[in-house]
Amino acid sequence: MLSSRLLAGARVWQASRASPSSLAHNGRIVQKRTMLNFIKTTLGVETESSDEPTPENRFHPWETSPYQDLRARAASIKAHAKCPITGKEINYTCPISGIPTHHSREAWEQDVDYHKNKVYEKLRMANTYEHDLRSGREFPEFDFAGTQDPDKTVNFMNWDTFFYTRMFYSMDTEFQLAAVTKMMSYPVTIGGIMHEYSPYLLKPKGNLTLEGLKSLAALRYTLYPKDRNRVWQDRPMRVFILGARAESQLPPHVWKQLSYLFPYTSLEVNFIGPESNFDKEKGQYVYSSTPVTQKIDENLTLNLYSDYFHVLHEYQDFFPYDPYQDVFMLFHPGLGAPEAMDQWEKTIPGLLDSKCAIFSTGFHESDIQRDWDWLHEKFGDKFDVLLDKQDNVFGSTKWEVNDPAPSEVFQFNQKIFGFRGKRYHAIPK
Amino acid sequence: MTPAMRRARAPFFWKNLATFVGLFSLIGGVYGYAMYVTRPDDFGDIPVPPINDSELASLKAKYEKEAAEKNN
Repeated sequence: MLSSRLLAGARVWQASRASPSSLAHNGRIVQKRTMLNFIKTTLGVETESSDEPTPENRFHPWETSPYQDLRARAASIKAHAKCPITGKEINYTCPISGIPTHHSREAWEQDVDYHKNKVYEKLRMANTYEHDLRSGREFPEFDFAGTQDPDKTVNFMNWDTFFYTRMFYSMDTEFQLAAVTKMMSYPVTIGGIMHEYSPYLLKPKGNLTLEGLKSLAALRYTLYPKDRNRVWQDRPMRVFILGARAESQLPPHVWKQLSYLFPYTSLEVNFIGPESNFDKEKGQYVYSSTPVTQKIDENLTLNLYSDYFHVLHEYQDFFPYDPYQDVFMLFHPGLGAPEAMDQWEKTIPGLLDSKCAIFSTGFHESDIQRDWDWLHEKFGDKFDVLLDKQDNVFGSTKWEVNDPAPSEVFQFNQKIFGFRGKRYHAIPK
Repeated sequence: MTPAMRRARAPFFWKNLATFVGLFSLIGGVYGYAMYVTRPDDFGDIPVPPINDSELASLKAKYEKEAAEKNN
């Protein structure tokens, strides 16, 4: 399955790196263009920019892509991945998606799942999104919205209503959505769960269990106190992100988006795991025995811990836990993935002991199913389900190619479920 | 309207439209009813009692006299 979880994690950031280059335009040219656009829009003349991304103009087969790194990825797929039908090396580029997927045309034709599930459409989207990020067009959508007017409610129904009510740049095309939701998925997934207008409703309307509502009610007790005239937080609310990879490299202003959703609450986001601290100059993960703290403003602090959670839990670094003020997030942890499950087996008991809510996301259906099954198999009687597994409302809309198995497409944070250590002992009759 | 705005408003379109129709019919109904009940009365169907010529002449003289006094 997803044997390259780490690879995929490291790549998250690479794609978005294209954005700063677009800002490096000559200021005068940009100004001239916006002035012209302004006049055109006032006159009501349709402005048809040649740089407008469309599924057609962003499509290139990866092997003949204008960008070196995509050609290299195509080569690496051919060198390392295996054909899902024949099990041989990959030599054939799918003509629809432009990504090498199979050994030969015969194998491509024989792949029933591939054609029935229209995987090629998602691969094609993945292809065009990658090209769009590298196209060097202007990325006005990366200017994120600031403080939310207290009189304007944020709507958490879906990405469109969220961006609209948060007054983001108008995300007119799927390309803009893909570029932004990939970053915004991390803070907004957390915000969407904890917020009072969360889209996750109690059963049978939604997938939230009664235990889940209890846990979220506890968190909302801290987030929305009745009397705001007094100081109600004796310490910041803590969000623990376990097995942090790409999310710890997101720029602080992306995490600030979480803070904007809870403007009166002081938050502390803790990234935990050996891959949480990435040194961009050295190009590798660095270890630090003390947490690396970044205080963004009085309401938001980011901490990087380079140890596994169970190590820190044993040292009692985070004691005491409080289900009213602490929440755990596992962004595609791969609980049941063979290369990660040993560590998770040591970590999960600590998480369950804390009695705090734990939410976990997955790349796709079978990924989250494997985590779900593993958890039930190992700790079946020790936890309550808070949120049955379902589509994450705020998952990334950008489709991704998994290089070791290119026909296995995925999206970051596509699925989600929640659990928590049991709060009571079962009484045998 | 941009496509993003249209997508964001799509889930609320029909409900908003129903609310609009409801409010409009209520207000329109009140207005319409008010207009109906305050419409100008038509007395055309009321028969005018007949009047004889001498009475008409005296009334006309009285009227002319009053008008002449007003003008002076």
